[in-house]
Formats: sequence, C-alpha cells, structure tokens
Amino acid sequence: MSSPQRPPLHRNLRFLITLIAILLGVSTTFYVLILRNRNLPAALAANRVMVFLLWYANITFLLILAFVIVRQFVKLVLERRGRRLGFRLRTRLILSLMALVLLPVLYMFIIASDLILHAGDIPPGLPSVLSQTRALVEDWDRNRIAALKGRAQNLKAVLEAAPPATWYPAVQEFVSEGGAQIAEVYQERRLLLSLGRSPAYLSSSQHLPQDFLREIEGAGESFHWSEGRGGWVLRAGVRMRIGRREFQVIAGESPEAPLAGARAAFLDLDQTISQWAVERGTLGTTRLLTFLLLTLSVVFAGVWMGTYLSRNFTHPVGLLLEETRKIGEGDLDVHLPQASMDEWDTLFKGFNSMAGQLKSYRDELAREREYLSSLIAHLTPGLVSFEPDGTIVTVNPAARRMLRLPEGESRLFPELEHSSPVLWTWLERALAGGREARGEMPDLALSDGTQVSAGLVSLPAGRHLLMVEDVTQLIRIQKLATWKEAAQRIAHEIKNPLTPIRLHAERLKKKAVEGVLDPADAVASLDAVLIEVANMKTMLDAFSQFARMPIPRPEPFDLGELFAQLEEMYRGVHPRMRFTFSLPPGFPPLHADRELLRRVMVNLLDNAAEACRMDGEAGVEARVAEGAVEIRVRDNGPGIPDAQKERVFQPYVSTKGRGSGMGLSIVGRIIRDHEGTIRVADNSPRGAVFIITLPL
Amino acid sequence: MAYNFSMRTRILLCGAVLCGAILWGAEPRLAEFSLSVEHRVISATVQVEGAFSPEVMERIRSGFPVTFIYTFTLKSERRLRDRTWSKTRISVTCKYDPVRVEYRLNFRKDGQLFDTRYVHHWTEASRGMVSLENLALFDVPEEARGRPVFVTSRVNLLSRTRWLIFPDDLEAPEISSTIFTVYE
Repeated sequence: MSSPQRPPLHRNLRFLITLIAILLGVSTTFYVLILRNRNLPAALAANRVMVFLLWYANITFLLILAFVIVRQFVKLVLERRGRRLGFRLRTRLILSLMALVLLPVLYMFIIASDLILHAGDIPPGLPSVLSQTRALVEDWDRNRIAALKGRAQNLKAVLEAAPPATWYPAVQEFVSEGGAQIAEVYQERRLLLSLGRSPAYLSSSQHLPQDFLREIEGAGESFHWSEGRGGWVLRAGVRMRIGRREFQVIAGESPEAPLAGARAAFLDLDQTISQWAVERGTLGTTRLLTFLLLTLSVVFAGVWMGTYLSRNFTHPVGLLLEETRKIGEGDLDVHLPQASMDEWDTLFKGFNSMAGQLKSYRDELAREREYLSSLIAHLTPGLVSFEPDGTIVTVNPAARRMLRLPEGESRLFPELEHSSPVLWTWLERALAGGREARGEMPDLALSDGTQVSAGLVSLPAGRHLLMVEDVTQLIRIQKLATWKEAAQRIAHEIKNPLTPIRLHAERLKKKAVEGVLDPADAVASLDAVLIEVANMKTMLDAFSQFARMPIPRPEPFDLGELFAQLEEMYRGVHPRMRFTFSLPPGFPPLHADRELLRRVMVNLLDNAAEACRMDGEAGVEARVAEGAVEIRVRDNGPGIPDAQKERVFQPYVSTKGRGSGMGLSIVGRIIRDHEGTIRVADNSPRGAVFIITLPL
Repeated sequence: MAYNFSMRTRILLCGAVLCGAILWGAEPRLAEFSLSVEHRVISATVQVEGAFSPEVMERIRSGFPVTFIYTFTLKSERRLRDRTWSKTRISVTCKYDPVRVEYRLNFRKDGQLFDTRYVHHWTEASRGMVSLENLALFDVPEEARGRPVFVTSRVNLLSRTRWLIFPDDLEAPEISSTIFTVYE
C-alpha cells in the first residue's frame, strides 16, 4: 500500500480533547492564582472564573474551528495545486457540507444574538414612570415621617409636662385620644413603656433595633420601618432629655395595608429594575457567550462531522483512483487496504481481486508471448508482422536472414525493395490487392537464387503478416520427384504403345521369315503401329504444352464476347450436344489473360462433351459474387466420384481412362496464376460443375 | 514676557485644567493614615477620599451590596522583597434597602462579622464605608518585636471585569506608615 495509513479518528479526538483540557486546566489555575493574589472574595473570584471559563471555552472553540477550517482550506488548495486525484470531489463535498452547517447556524446566531441582547431592554418610558412614582413615594414617606415626628414631639411635650410617675396614664390618654397609634418611651435605649392600638403594633414592638434608638440619641430624631405579621409599621422618634437622663420618645402608625403593601412592592420592583439596568450588559453578554458557546459547539460538530464524512468518502475514492491510475500505467502490483465501511470494503476486495486476476492474466500472457516468441524465433519459415507504413512489429531471425534485413532495422519497406526486389514487387501487388496472396516459386526467386514461398495475411488493426518459406530445397526435391514421376509416366505411356508395336513387328517378322506375309495383314499391322505412334506423339505434345505454359498477361476484356466466340465455335461441332452461355446484363470487364481463359473454357467444354458422350447438355454461366467473378461450367454427364474430386487437378489424373491426364492440371495452373480458385462439385440433378472464382 | 492668549485657547486651557482636576480628584486615595500601638496591638485610622465614583454610586443605589476591602500588612524591610509578618483584611459591605429606607453596613475582619449598622442617611453610610477609626488590626508577632516594622494599607473599592475577561479593580494606591519598632 503506497499511501500511509491514517490514524483512527478517535485517536485524533482523544488527543485534541486532552490538549484542550490541559490548556484549560493550566490557564484556569494560572488565572485563579492571579485572582487569589489580588485578595478578592471567594464568590467574586468564582464568578470571574466562571466568566473566564466561558470566554476560554469560546475562544478555544473559535481557535479550533478556525484551525479546522483553515486547515481544510489549505489542504484543499494544496490538493488542487498538486492535482491530487479526487480533489474536485473532495473540494465540492467539504465546501457543500461546511456551507450546509455554517450558513444556517451563523444566520440563526445573528438573529438569536440580537434577540438575546435586546431581550432585557427596559421599555423607553419605564425609567421616567419609575422615577416619578419613586418621587411620589418618597414624598409620601417624608410627609408620613414628618407627621409622625410631630406626634412624637407632641408626646414628648406631654411627657415633659407630666411627672414620670404619671407617664403611663398620660401616654394611655394620648393614645386613646388619637395622638398616635403607637406610643413608646425608651430610657437610654431600654423600653420604659409601650402602648398601641394598632394590630401591627402587637407584632412589631419587641424588636426595635438599637441603631434606631442610637440614631435618636445621636441625631435627636430618626424613623424606622418594620414589617410584622400585622403589616408594615412606621415609627418616628425624638430625643428627650430630662435632667441628666436621656429618653427616646417614639410615635408610630400602621399605614393602610394596601397602600403600605403597594409601596413596598413598588420599591422592591424599582430596586429589581435598577439592578437589572446595572447588570443588563453583563448578563446579556454572559448569555450571549453561553449561546455563542453552544453555537460554536454545533458549528464545530458540524464542520468536524462534515470533514469526517468527506474524508471517509473521498479518501477511499482517492485510493481507488490512485490505484486505478497505477493500473493504467501498467503497474499491476496494487492492493487496497481493508476499509472500515462494508461497501468500500466490498469494492476494495473486488478491486483487489480484479487487479490480481489482471496480473495473473498478464503474467500468463507474458509467458505465452515468451513461448510464442521462442517458437517463432526457432521456426524455419520467416515471419514478419508489420504496420501498414512498413514498421516492423515482430520479425523472427529466419525472416531477417531470408529477407536480408539488417539487425535493428525497424522497417520492412523500403528496405525490402533493395534487398529482395522480386519479393517487394509481389508484396506491393499483394498489398495493393488488399487480400491474402501467396507467391510460389519460381516467381519469387530472390536475387541470390533462393526460391521462397511467400504468403500475406491481414491481421487486426490494419497489420499484415508476411510469411516467407525457403522452398529452394523443396522445389529441388519436387522437381526431382516430378521428373522421376514424369519419366516413369512417359516410360509407362511409351511402353504401352510399344507393346502392340513390338507385337505387330514380331508378327510381321515371323510371317516374313516364314514367307507367309500377307500384304493386307502387313498393312493392317503397320496401320496399328502408326496409330500407336500417333498416340505417342499426341501424348508428348501435351507434355510439351504443359511445360511451355506462358506467364498470364491480364488485361480487361468483355467476358460476353468470349462467351459469344465460344458459342460460335461449338455450334454444329457436336450435333447432339447443346451448349448454353449465360451472362447477366451490365457484367463488368474481367481482368485476366483472355487467351488463357479461352483455353480453360475450351478444355472444360471438351471435357463436358466427352463426359456426355457427345449427347447431352453443357452450360456456362457467370456472375459477380463477393467482389469476385464466379464462372460455372456444368454438364449432365455421369459426374465425378467424390474420391477423385480432389485429385482431378493433379497432373496425369484422368477420369476418362484415356488421354494424358494433363488437361485439368493445366486448367488449374492457369486459374491459380490468375490468383483465382477452381473446384469441382456435383451438378443438380446429375453431372459435374466446375466453379471458377477470379478477382475482379 | 507678556502672554496674549486667545479666547479659544483660554477656554481650552481652562477645560484641560478642570478635567485634570476632576480626574485627579476622582481617583480614590487613602488619607489620614495613622497607627497606634497599645499592648502590642496595632490599631489603625484611615480614610478613603474619592471612593464614590458614579459606578459605585449606581451599584449602591440599585440595591447591590458594595464592599470596600481594606488590606493592612505588617512588614519589615528587606533588600529584595519585604518580609510580611501579619496581614488583616477589613471589609465594609453596604446594602441599601429602599423599602425600609435604610443602609445596612456590615463590618468583617478576616471574614468574621464584627459589627452591623443601620443608618438612614447616605452621609452616615458613606462615612461608615470610607472611614475606619482606631480599629485594632493585629498583634505584633513575637519575632517582629524589637525589629523595625511598617504597616501598608490599600483598599479595593470595586472589582469588575473589562471585556468580561480582564480583571480591573477600582482601588486606592497602597500607602505605608513610617517605620517603627514595637518592643515588649
């Protein structure tokens, strides 16, 4: 595996979380130490630490988020510059996922933060209303306190006018006459007497703070609000000095419950709103920070998830592309690792299996190729495969030797034109013909006297295969065999007429010796001898004609004219034979040696007439089929046995039991020299048909 | 040399002097710092001037408890870093109750409540917050006796956070007493 294994995600996360925790711990400790050095109260320090933690978490998240996003962008830019495989898909995927997470969350954050910051806004008119109401309450308070202070002064006057022993009934009378709801007298902050007619009085009189009394002592007057089970109670006190003794004279009242309750409720509310106004900014910012923390958590989770998903998707794609590229470059030693997702794992396994099979096939192919190369190199025939422009694809040593191609020569022609002009001429013609061609000796006698048999085969992709075989030795052997066979045949053929000649000569000699030679007998014997001699001459003429077969000189001619000439020639020759010639209208000119083709037709028509014993029917018809001209010569004679059909074109083979057996051999030779084919088949319903195919 | 300032320059100069005076005057500072020693117990009298900034006043009036923290430290001089013998923290917390129309003042020494006062007038409340009179601070440790020592004092008036992260305290600069020696 070429690409390094990535560390698992949970290891990265663990590392990141540990790092953040350590940084958080160190920074918090450091901050707490600073605060402790500043001698702050614990509550204030804790509050600051909490706010600090919020800030710290936000900044940490922001930094990590910025790091993750910047890192992703840098990686994308680097991948884009490096043209790394799969970067387009990765870029699109990451940007899409980030946009999907970032845009809605940021939009929501902007909207929500605006709501949070303005959620605690005090309505514009409220401060003014509060201020006016507060002034009213304070005015009401002042009036009440002033009134109570007046009552306390009245009580003080009553007490100053009466001896201390009569203070109780005097105060009782003062209260009963409506001087005050509550009347209390303290001596040096100790309760001396207390009277009241208010229910609230009963629950509030026992717990007057010393500071209130001390303030009366110090300032000469004071007031005090207290709340008991019966409601609110307002007291006002004045200082009274009789001799050296200090007294605190207090008058009190319990305001109407709804009014006092409303006053307390308003002042409580006013205080709450004031506190809110002071802390609004801090509280709003803290809530905003908390919301920012949540938002960043969501964004971070989204971005991380997007990165994780895109990496999980694009990383295998990148691996796949990389390995595919290697295969494309011919490196089949590829292997994809095990993937975490089932689908990818299945794909990777399939890819590995495919690559393995490909490698196996390639190795097998290489072995086969090596085997074939070795085989071709050791083949006696020469093989050259080449491009249409002559660039050699494959050549074996035998071909190089026969065609005298220098070692390292990469082109077949025009090199062949100089080394083997005869072969080049044939090859040029064969290539121009656009079909398979085969040359045989002696036409392909090379300049050094070597005789070769050549063949050209068309290969796929426009290539050609030239097969060259050194047939010099074979031809020599064939010639020897042919001459031997011909000698035997000639000897046999000559021997056949010699026997009757010898028999007639011996009989003439015997009768001449015995003196009983009858002239008629002698004439008859000599006629027989002359016939045999004439047969021998005919046979020798046929041999001579076969040996003198001319080279075809093809030129375009009208086949219809030839058929007309033949029809005229055979008219009335065999009265009981019927000759028919058929040619479709508009038949194209035929490129062949007209005289040789006429000889072929005459030979075949003579054979047909003989096969029908001059009493039958022979027909010639021609047609164009598959880019070639097909000529059929049929008769309704006895036909040719299957066993002889393949041998009829060999020399000295005759189905008639007489003749030289060279006729069809000559026909076959002429057709082959025209790069055509000839075969024999059964005619329907009876007889034989010779099928000639010639190129147009 | 005759100076001939334009009206505009004069106004600017007056404004600058006024702003400087306001800013200087607004800066809290400790004043009238005096010590007394009786039976090896050191008592201090100190006042804070310019303690009530608008921010402090706003907090007090809104009913938030506001705490002034006085820190007194008994030290001996050393070359690099002074030696601390004892340290005492006095905190005065003021909380206004608008319903009862009174200020509650809590006095703590090293976290222990030692006095509570209720006053109706801001004058008394403010005086209670900025003025400590002959308040016993600490016993002179045995090791410090016979050594030249001095007492430092500083006061923290308000703790706040700028930008919600940077601690920023409103406090009066530290002042020191003269060096003295406490014997047996």
